[in-house]
Amino acid sequence: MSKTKMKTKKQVTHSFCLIMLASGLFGAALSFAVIVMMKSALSDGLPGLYVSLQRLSPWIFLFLAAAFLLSSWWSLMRARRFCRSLNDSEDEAFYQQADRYLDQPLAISNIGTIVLFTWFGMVAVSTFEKNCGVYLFLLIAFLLIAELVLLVLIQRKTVEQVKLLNPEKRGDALDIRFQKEWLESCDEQEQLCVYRASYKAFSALPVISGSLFILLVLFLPYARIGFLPFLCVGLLWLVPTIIYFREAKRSVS
Amino acid sequence: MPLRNHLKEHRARLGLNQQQLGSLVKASRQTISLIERGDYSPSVTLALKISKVCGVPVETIFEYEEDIADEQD
Repeated sequence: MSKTKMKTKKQVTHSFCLIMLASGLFGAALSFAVIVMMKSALSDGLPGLYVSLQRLSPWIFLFLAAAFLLSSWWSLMRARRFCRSLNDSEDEAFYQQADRYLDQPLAISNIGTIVLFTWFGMVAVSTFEKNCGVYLFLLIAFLLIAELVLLVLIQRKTVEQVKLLNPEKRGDALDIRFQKEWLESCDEQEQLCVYRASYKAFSALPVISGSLFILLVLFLPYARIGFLPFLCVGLLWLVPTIIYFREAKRSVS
Repeated sequence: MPLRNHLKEHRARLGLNQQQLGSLVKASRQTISLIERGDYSPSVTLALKISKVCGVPVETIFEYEEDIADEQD
């Protein structure tokens, strides 16, 4: 574990002021550059690119769906082949490698789910702006549901393989109580890993949400995005923050 | 981690693999592996469970490194 270098209050205040000043100057320079670029690109560059992207969105969706499905399936098959070769091996390195292989299908399928949902939004926007046919949109919607089912089945098979290596683990990936049961079956070290990873994710929220707000404000003069994106970013920042403080209070009371 | 341990030796003495020891103390194979490598310090509860299974006092399995340094001085 790294030891944090202790700073005096004065040093911390100075660092904070310097960072705020540098960020402000950098932000102003970047905004000016973006405004200048947007003005020159606005005539035909960006709008043309956006319309082309909309027209291609169903095909990009199909490509993404195939890529995520095939890569998560392939990584699952590789993990299963490797685990079959373990044969009750006592070699710790084998188990560590098996854990690494089994992490991959879960990561790919989870990221794939988010990316496909997001890109489906582009297909929907494309349909409503008449750059994509309604029947094609309905087909893509059906394919999204099918893909999600297949990705969940891959996750289930991965979990079953993990349970073969770790018989103390409980939970069915298709069960609504899966996360609760799985966490309860984890020991102290595994639970600590989950809590650490969750806190890292939570800590990234202010940086990501703040950056998104700035980007949205920069795009505001050039695209009629309305208030909805600001509301979405705000809610995605607010809800985990409220949950965090509620759970922290609950754990000390 | 400021905790040195002799868990591997005691586990070998009992003829158990990491999975078997983990089942006895309600911990995962991965946790036993991390403890043996010194990458994880178990809680008091888990350390006591391990010492009970091994049949030796907990100080025989786990040593605090600052205590070792003091003894050597």
